[in-house]
Amino acid sequence: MKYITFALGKGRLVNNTINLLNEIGIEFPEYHENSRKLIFEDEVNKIRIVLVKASDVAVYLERGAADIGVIGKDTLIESGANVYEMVDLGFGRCRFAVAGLPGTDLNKKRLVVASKYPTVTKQFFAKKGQLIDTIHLNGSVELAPLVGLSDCIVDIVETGRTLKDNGLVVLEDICEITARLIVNKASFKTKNQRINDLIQQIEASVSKKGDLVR
Amino acid sequence: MEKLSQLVPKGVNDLHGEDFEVKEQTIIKLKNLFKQYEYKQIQTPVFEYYDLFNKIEGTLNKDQMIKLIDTDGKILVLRPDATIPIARMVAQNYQNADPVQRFSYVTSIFRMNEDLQNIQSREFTQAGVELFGKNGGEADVEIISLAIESLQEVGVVNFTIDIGQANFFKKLVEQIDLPKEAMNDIQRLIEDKNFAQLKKNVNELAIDEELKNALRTIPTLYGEPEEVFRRAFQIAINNEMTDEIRHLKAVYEKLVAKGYEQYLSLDLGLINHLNYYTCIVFQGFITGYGSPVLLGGRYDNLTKQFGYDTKAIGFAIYVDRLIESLNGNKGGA
Repeated sequence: MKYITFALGKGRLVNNTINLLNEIGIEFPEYHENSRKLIFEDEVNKIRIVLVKASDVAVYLERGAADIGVIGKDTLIESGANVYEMVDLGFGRCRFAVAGLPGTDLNKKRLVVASKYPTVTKQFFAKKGQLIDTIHLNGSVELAPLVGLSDCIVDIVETGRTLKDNGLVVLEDICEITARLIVNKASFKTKNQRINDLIQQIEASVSKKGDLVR
Repeated sequence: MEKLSQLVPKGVNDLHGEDFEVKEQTIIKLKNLFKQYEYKQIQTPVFEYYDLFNKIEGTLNKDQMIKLIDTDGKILVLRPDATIPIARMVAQNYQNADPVQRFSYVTSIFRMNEDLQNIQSREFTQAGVELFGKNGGEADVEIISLAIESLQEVGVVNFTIDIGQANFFKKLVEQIDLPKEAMNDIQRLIEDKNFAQLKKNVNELAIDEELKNALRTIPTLYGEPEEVFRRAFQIAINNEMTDEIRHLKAVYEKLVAKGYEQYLSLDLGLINHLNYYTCIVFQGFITGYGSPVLLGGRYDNLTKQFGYDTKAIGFAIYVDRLIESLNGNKGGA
């Protein structure tokens, strides 16, 4: 039997995903949070996980190096990957928002927006029919409006603490974000039965939890 | 300064030594097979008028076409697709000939592709066939069988031909009065099998529950064939949809009778590729390789737009992807 490979974006989604897999009986005995290994296997169920940079998950899938991926909706939109987006895993919940100093006028001409997510930013403002100037930054985006680099930012907001500590507020919500289970289209077609079973087990496990929360 | 004289542009590359030989051998095998089934090889120009690709319904993404300006100011396009020029050629030259025509081709395709990591994203080779003038299951079976044999011929062992039905979805959508944008969103969610978001979007629509149910069900129509057909008949809201499924079922059963069952899968949520397809659509996947290596389907409305109403079905193999998948020895012997 061939291995089914999961690509997980390194970071907060890994533990959640591994817990979820444990719940459906898939175990990675060698995995612990501080391990530096990048690949773990469940030899019984023939499942392998590889830990990659979140923004690379889509590349692994599109190139067929992994069958299934777990990725935040934020990274998924930004990558524009051509994959099946089959389960909303419910964890890693946060949202995309436009943020800036209180009282910022978002309707001004030639709004300058800084973001780690240029695609999301452009799409959002294009939908509103607004021309903007996008500045692509790789981190510490909150700084941009403070030093006059931009009028506002587009970023993910989890608790809002980083914004608050820097004197920024949410000006407009864009959309909710959760972790998504994505599937390579070719794997879905060629390893259909096993992948299908796995997805159904995961879905059942997720919706059970969803019911508990409600 | 970069020495442009020593570089090639993005998305194209050289092919030499053993790589060329491998490609050549693969193409020879395909050509011989096509010839054996009496498909005559033809060639269309490398560039044609932009209007050819732009004026017809269900064409390719215009932004992806590589354009040139002619001396008289007209816009030309490097061949972005093999099928449309062949449909034009047939409409212009074969109206008074035998209605049944079989053509094959091996040709370069040019597209402005976003995938800059892929060295062959802007020029790649397609080999394929087109069968004109034959309607019905017999032609569908002939073409899908040839697709299967083509992959077998070049040494692929583990592959799947995934079959869908473009009209089943189109006939459903015709019943639904929605702004184009909302419909495009729904179509994308179906194509992505994004069940959760699809359910949310569909439930917000002001349409009959029967239609909502059909939209929600379409992406789940894959897997075990008997079950897929049974549930497809259930959500068919008009005779046209029922007929399309009945036809698909007949084709599927004939292919099974020919011993191809292990290579077949069904997915009625397969709706989004080139819009000129009208009936059966299919794509070929090789185990362990990320993208489809073969695309095909029936396109009964295409030649009509060039003034000749005839039926047509065909497929194209992405030769470079096919070789890449064989080199990785994935899905191969």
